[in-house]
Amino acid sequence: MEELDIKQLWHAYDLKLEQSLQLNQQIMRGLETQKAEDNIGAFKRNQIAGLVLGILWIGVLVFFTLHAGGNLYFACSIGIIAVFNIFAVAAYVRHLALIAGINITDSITDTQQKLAAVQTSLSNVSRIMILQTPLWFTLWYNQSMIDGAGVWFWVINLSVVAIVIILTIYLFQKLSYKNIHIKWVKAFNESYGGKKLTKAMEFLKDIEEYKRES
Amino acid sequence: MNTLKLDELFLSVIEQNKGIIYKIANSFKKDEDDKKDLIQEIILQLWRSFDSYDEKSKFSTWMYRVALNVAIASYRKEKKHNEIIAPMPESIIAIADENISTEQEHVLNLLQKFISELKEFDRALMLLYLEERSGKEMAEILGLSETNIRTKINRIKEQLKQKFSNFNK
Repeated sequence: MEELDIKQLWHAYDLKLEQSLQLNQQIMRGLETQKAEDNIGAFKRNQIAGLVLGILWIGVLVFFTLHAGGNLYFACSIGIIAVFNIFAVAAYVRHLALIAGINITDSITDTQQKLAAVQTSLSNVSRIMILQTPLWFTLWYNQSMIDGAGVWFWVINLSVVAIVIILTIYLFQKLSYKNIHIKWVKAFNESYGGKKLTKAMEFLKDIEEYKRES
Repeated sequence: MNTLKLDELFLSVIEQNKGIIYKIANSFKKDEDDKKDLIQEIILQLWRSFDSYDEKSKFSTWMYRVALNVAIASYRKEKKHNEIIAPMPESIIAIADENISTEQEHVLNLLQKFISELKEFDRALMLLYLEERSGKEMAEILGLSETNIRTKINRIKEQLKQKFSNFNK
């Protein structure tokens, strides 16, 4: 089928639609009255609740950092965990800013890219949270343990901590939408964020490629 | 402009462009109820954005952007679920006569089927191409360069040609 034939066919379709489509004015009027209604109130409330919970959790962590009972190791571990949580809340605020920045009248690739970015941005919060994992392994250190535990205890303990550090940094780097083509990354994302998150990540990657190719 | 005049203007704009809205919904949804919901959602979003139209771009460019953005976002939703508006029993835009009998209609159905098999952006691009939008306007709607648009259109046309020839074999 040639280009001209396709265009002629489409033109005929236009003519047919012109004759047969009817606009239901009564429903149109009803729809116009919906404009002023704020239907996304519940959605906003959830976002604010998430933000408040995050800030409260940081408050708890800061409290324990300041009241560590003289245990420097505990104070340092919980303090750094608090810093990661501050970053996670900041990433969540960025997520909310992304939502606010979506304009449906912008170009299609830009708007869809922002929509997909919003869907995937919460995974950044998870990635940051993963980074704090090794600190939960050092939380229980104290001075008497440092002074009294034997060499083998520390060899095993520090080896475990080192493995956890390497693993968390590796996960942080890999669990991005840029690596969604890797099977285990896809499976991992699906296990904690569901297929919706994976699809959004794949779509984000597709859009970038679509904009690039010419 | 007072609200009443704005309402009337919007009504006439939708009346003039109902065909485009219908065609977009038809390309992105197969199920009749989904189609009806999408038409409703597109019109609602157009209405919500209507007073923000600032004449920097052509009205058609603005309208295609909103309609296609809503269609693509809705197509990507897993569930058939309308979060913004309550479903309505009737369609805002209804087709009065759906008799399909001629050979031309058969080929048209094939064309629509092949278009609906394209990826979302290619589908949007093909719709704009068939609507005879200029390269510049298509580039503005999609947010791509004109060169990129030309390359993609040629590729899609080849794909469609191939599908037609495979079907006729």
